[in-house]
Amino acid sequence: MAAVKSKTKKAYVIFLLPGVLIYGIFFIYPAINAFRVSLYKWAGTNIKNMRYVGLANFKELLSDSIFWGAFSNNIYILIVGGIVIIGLALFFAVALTRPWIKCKGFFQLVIFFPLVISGAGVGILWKFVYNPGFGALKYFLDIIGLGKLNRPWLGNEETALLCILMSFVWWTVGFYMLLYIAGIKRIPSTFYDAAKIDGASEWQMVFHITLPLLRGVLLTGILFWTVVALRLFDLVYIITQGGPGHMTETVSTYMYKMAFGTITPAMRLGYGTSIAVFLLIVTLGFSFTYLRVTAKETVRY
Amino acid sequence: MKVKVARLKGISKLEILTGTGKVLPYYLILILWTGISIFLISWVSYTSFKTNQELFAGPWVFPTAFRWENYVNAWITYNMKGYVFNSVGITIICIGIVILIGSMASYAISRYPFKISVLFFFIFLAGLAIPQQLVVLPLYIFFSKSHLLDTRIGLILVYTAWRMPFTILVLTAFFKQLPEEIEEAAIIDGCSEFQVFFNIGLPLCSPGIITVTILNLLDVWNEYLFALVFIFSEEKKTLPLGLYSLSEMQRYAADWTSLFAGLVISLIPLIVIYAFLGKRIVSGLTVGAIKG
Repeated sequence: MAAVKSKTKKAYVIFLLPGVLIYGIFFIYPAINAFRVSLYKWAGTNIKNMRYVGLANFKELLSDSIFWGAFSNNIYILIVGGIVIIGLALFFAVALTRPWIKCKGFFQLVIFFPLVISGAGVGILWKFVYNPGFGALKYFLDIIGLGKLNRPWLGNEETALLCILMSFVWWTVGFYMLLYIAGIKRIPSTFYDAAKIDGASEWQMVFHITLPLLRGVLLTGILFWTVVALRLFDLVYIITQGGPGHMTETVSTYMYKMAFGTITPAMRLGYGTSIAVFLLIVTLGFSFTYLRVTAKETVRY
Repeated sequence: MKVKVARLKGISKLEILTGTGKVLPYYLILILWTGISIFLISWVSYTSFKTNQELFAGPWVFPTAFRWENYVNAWITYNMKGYVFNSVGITIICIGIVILIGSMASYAISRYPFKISVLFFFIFLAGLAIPQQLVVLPLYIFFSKSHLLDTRIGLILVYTAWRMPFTILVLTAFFKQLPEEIEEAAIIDGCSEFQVFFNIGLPLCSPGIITVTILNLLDVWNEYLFALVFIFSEEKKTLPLGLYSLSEMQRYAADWTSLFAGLVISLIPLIVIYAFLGKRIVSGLTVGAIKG
């Protein structure tokens, strides 16, 4: 008890204050201020020249077809990319937890590696791959005899978004793999031993033991993916800047362009912020749905 | 262990070779995927030594001579030197501040019996749900009024604030696991609260500090959106920004192999860090992911 008494308020404040101040001023204050900013309109580049317009920005957002195109690109990445990345990550996780697979550590390190590269690095690397002149993809297609399929992959509305999506999967699949490996390792081996005695096949065990017991972690991964897919900015900005036209625009690149891009009128800070508020509401919506789904069930082994 | 041996013996070498076992499809996809990654990194590496003519001869043609000029061009002409310098400085200063004030705040939240700590903890946690996009434009307005736009110090402050939620989440969990008895004994022996924190609390927490340092380091080093919005002068750009402007320049200069060299320069620090700390990064992220 003596120790508890010696814990003074003064020390408490000194410990806590620097963190709270910096975080409050440079993160929480702007986050709250965003709701106010989204109700204003800026004319020209003078930052002081602001005018209250109420919900006009949000009304405009509802009828902005480029914005909805951008949002549907996010949804496309979310769904198509989600199926690919979660599927692949599950496959890798199952493979790398089988006792008879060798070089597990090596595979894991290589699959995970792209995650430590910046979005800018990954974007430029894949721009090289997709380059129709000297890209690796062109030469790969030549080898398998499909050379005539070569095209400006990123300048083409059928392929551009898919190309970004594939590089996104390559970049981040390692994270979901790790998550699922950790999940699978927590499943007690007695389940598998029992199934083995009953004569279950490898695939039966994966589908009837691993996947059902992994449900909670699986959903966590899906939630992570949902949030990053909706927030995606750097990779798209580096690879195509949302082009050609607005074909690969995402909500975030559009928000950036509204404020600082070449679209006129420029410096639409209020409108850009209303897009960010929309993004926050959508991601929170997904998160709460997820929490409601998972709160009802706790897996007990 | 017995089960493990039985499973190992269950598959004969013949099965592996003929592909009748269940092993082959697993290996096929694993090797294909890792093969692509290894090929991409090595392709970029040896292409960075080519001339621009050799580049168009395709990836199966190796450079005839090591053209170090590409690296000189990237490093000096295209100013990778400046970008790397900025990124190193900003990252080190930022991580230093994050770890110091983050661990102090976590210590206060987990060790001091004041009820308001719960509130602070939740406010910090709420930051994990706030996208960078939400704060970036209001911050731009705030910065332009307070003359922090296009300054390294402004960027460092934003990065510090941005990394607080994750840091505090992990470190608070860490401090809560540690027993308090040693710290209490030290206080009875007459140490001040700050001595206790710096000499006992912080060292005991070092595994947590290392994990948080590495993951924050990667996030800050690679960050793009904040840097793009808050920095515009060429001499203050960080590495990701610089890499992008280097790539935009090649639309006109068409000096592609120097861009390859620039990309390799940006990858080298990461490959070095990964070679030494890869396992640590992997385990740190697993802990973070499960707890988050």
